[in-house]
Amino acid sequence: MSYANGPMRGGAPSQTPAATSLFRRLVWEGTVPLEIKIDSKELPAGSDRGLECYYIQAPRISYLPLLLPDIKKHLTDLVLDETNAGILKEDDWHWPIGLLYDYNTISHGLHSTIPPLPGTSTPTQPLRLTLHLVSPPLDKLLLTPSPESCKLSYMGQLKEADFLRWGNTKRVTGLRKQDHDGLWESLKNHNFDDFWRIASKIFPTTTPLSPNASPNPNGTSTFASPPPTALSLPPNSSTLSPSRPPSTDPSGPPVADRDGAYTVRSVPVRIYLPDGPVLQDLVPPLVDERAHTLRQFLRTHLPLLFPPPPSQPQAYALVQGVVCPGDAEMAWLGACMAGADGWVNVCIGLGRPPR
Amino acid sequence: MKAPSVLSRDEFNLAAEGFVRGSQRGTTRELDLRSTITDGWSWKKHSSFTHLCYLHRSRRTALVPEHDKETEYQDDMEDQIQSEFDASEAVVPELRVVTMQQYVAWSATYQLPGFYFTMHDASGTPVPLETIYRSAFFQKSRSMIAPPETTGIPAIFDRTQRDQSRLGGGDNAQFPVLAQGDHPVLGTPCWVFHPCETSAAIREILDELVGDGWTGSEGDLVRWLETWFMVLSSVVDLRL
Repeated sequence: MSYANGPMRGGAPSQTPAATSLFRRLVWEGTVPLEIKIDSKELPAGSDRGLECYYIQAPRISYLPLLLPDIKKHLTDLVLDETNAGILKEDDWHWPIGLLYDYNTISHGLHSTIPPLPGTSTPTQPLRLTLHLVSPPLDKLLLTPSPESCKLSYMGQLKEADFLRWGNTKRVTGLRKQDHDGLWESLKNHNFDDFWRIASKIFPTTTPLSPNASPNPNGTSTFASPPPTALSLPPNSSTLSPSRPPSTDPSGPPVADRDGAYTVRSVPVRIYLPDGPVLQDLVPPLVDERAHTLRQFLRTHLPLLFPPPPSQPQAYALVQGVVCPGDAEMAWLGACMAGADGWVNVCIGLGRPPR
Repeated sequence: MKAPSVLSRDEFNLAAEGFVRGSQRGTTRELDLRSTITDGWSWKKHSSFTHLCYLHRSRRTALVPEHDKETEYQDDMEDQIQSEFDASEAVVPELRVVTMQQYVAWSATYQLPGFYFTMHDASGTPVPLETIYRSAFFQKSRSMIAPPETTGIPAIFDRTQRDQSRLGGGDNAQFPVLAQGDHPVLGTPCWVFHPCETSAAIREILDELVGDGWTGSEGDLVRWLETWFMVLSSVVDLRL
């Protein structure tokens, strides 16, 4: 693969293990079908009602307000005139699109009495959304879902994830404004390389579990070489590598592990239940010095749905639309399967998982 | 032992329940003279997930935004005419009764209580952020926080941090003190207020009050929450 370069090449993304990059790329390229329909009560008189639906395959890691210009552009040609605003009246417009879709999947399962036919593929039902042209006086939304509000919400989630991982927000707030803007622009432009060039400065790395096994191209242990300063990477890395904002603990483990997925305080994870509250709690990467698995995590937080053996689980977990195996490590999920805001969103579906 | 600068979920739940019981009995310490801050709170928990709890109260108040207040009471005819032409600048041209739902809910991320609220007028329409900013509710902190229209973004930023953000510095540069968020238990959209340095301020106050005598008892936890209210009421007016 083109991005599985060795550590001597410049740029942090090329120092990421190939498997990590692969999963991040898969998450980045994941899409879901959306069906956007204009509220028929609001269609201008005389418009062709047959053209009121717009279908789009939307990136999971993106946000609805970012899609609006594209939707409006297409619908404008057919139905709307320039003056109509176009507002998506969902309460959760600030959720990533993938989360909206998965949440809809699990909520739909709650009410469905007909199980999927055996042998059918994962549901590919589009998520149906209604676009409103007019903002009525009794608009219950606190904020118009503009790209600016969305960016603000995104930055807030990024900061929260940073805080959860390290107990401070120095990595995110230490980025220059152009990097903050760069993250958002690369989301808008859907550019994986641009995004990860900046994100790899703040997202955890997937270094090995053992803190003494830091790989070093010279073949020597990092403890034998001069102690790295907070801002430098291991001594013989390319000088073109971007540096990370300083870590809070200069006497901590070697730099290569300081940002490791297994040294975080807590993995940023939220659990979404159909018709239920959003659950969030501390998720340590290790439990009793062993990797914290998804199975353990679910048994701890939802003991009735995920009882200990010999009982069978009464539910399943979806992460980025994929039914996640119980052996998946929470730390790894945090580094590889998180959304663009750093959060691992686990949607719990009741009953058997869709095939 | 010294008082903690954060609270666990269980500690918050204990503190909140004790706080409500105390205020109902009228035994709240230190805040007796400002009982409107502690009045009317009820302790709620989620029907199925009983460890998810929060405090709630409802407040009805009349919004008299400061600059409109000055306009309203002008005696000079000329100024009155001028103020009519200035009406386009006034976000709320007349007295408006609003209902504020106030919540204190625990933030799993920051391990601290957060202040969440919504503000609606009589027809159920949410009050715009610019109006909230200009209301008496934020009177105390307006010198320190920038109005949303000058930042061009739908949030309220600490003015000092906002300037620093242009230089790319400051711990909270570009992150607001008030922005939209989801209620941690109800999931509904609210305004969320994260005053800067809350933890540090609480710690300082409690170090003065209890020193090394912190035991983590329910009484201590209630006192922690009362201190949190004190810190919050120094930036927003909870008497309303």
